[in-house]
Amino acid sequence: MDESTSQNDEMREIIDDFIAESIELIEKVVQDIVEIEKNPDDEIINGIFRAVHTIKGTSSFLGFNTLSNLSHKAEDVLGRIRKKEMVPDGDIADTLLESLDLMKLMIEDIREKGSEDRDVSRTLQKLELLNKVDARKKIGEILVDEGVLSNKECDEFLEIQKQEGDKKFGEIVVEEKLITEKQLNSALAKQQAHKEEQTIRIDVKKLDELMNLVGELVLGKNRLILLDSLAKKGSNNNGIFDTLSDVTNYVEAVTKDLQLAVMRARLVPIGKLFNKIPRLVRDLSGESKKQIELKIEGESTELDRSLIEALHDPLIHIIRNSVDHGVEAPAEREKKGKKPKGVLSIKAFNEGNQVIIEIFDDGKGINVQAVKEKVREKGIMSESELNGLSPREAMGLVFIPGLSTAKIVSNVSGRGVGMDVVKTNIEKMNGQVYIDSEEGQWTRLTLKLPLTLAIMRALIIRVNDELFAVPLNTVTELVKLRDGLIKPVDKNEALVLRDMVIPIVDLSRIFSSSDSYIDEGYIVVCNIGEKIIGVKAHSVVGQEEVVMKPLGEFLGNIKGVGGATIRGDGKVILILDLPAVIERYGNQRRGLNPTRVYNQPTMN
Amino acid sequence: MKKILIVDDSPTIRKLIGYILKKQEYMISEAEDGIDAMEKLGSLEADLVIVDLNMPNMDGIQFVKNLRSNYYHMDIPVIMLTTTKDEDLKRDALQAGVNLFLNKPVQPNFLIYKVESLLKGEQ
Repeated sequence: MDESTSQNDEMREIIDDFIAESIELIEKVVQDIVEIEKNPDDEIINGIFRAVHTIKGTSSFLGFNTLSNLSHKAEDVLGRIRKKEMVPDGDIADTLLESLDLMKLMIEDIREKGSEDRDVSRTLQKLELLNKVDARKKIGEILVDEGVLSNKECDEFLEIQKQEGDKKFGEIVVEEKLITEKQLNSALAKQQAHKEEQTIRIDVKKLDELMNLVGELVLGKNRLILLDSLAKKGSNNNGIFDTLSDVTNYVEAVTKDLQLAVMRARLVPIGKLFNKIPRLVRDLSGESKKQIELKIEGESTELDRSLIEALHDPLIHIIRNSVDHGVEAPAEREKKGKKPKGVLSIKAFNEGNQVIIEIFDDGKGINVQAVKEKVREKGIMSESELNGLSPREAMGLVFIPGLSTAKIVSNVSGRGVGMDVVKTNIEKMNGQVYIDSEEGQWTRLTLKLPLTLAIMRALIIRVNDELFAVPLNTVTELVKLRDGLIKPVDKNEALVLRDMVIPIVDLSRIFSSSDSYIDEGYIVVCNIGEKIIGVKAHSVVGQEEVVMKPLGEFLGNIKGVGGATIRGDGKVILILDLPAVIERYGNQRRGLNPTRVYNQPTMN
Repeated sequence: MKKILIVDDSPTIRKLIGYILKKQEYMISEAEDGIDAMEKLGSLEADLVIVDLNMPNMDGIQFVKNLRSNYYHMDIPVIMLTTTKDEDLKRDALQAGVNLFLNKPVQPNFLIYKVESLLKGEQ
């Protein structure tokens, strides 16, 4: 009995290994296929062949026959490419990518349900067709071959091509239509939460560094124990206190290093995310018949693992937007005197304690007037409000939910959901989004992200008797309150600082019942994306490094609070989520947009 | 205890074969390609080698050729475990000096039996 369970465990482990290995291989192969389409390099083709070969071999060993069958057919096609019997063109790459997608889905099935049960006949057919068609002529000029085919065969081919046409978009949808009996199965599988593997590959050097630091920490502990026993013996040596402060300093330094090292260990190069972009751009530009030159820089920039995952969807959305709405069709571009090939450049780099990601396209840019028009049409802002906006503020309007200036709704984007989701997602990660554009020329989106989510520097402020932590990366300055500095504006308060009018948020009004009047203290000026707000505080306690803890299910949904942290004295304080505070503050003012304050006369 | 070296670029395959053979109390070592295997053989007196055909850097056939031309490893029995229908490759492999050519998937008991008989044959 025992032996069989341990055998099962071992088998389970082997299958887990197989899943991890195969997913990694497939991801690599997908990139490589995009590459060989442009540049059929022998070594890359060999690598692809070997990877698919490995998947085939292992899956047949483990009894996943459908998967092994599919990979076998894909391997045949790759074998022919390897022997130079055919040249990988767009169609072949499409089919190969399709089969790899399917293989990946099957492996995910194996992870979730333990078996792969999918209809692969269409893809198999296509792969076989590739094998057959090219068997007639040595060099893969499929299009020529098509003409050579007999009428009946030609019809068949066209039929499959037709199917191919509707298959390129939502593969899964079509498949669901096909397999009615399995519909339930797959729907159930989708309902199950995606079991994301929580493993991380870590450089041995980083691990060694950690071990070293832990070793030093142990030394510190030993010194403390020694001190403790000395103190207990009651030796009256004054040196004890000197040594104690010495040891405290030592432990403090080591802990700081340890914290940094652990943080660094969690960092993953952003290339992991960027790797998926070439394929995405290739597919999108194929669908929309656009020519796009993709430039990617800074793949080695490192970011916290959890951030990389959370960044995936927003980034893909932004890229889709750029390809679909930004870059124009070649003919249109030539008319405007641009090169027919559009440029999409994605760049990541470090700036201080932040990572910046820039997505730039030289497409048609943002028509600010059209955006304003739309905002007016939807009744979000009035004419006079819109006229009062600075160009930069007007650009920021694209982040308003439910706004899309695309004239035609396409499969890719333009349904009016999107930029606001991007913004919300980035802000959830404590990051910021900026947009910049010149109409007809270019658009640039800048994402600013913290290196890590878990630990951040914060400014601790006191409001009434409560302490709050404000993320330090948003704080731009502190203003000491004086009489007359705060001016009532439209039943609200605003601070006039140099030539800016800054709306004031009173936390005591938002979080506690007691409405206290603050006549002295500070205004903490914070900059979030395009918005600037001031937060009233009775006093400022200081800067601290706080470890962010989620609030848990019960309290987790409070708007305006991003989490909590425990201070040195054991007290729990709340960490402010400023974008949500602004939103909530706006709601309290009966749905008015906070930027409205800008439009009011500054003097009363 | 007999020592067996498994050469395959896929860690899963290596683990799987190791898992099958471990039941028989063999000592298992792993290498990820031909070059790695040649290096490991220098310090490890393997009694049998199981090798894949398709590997980066140095493939199975090249590895076996090297093995056979090396004075110390000339007569180590080699099983090539791979998936190919290509008869040419199979012939090349046997010519290079592979003792046994098997196609994946292989029945665990069959593999154990073959390993056993090759090891006995050597004694």
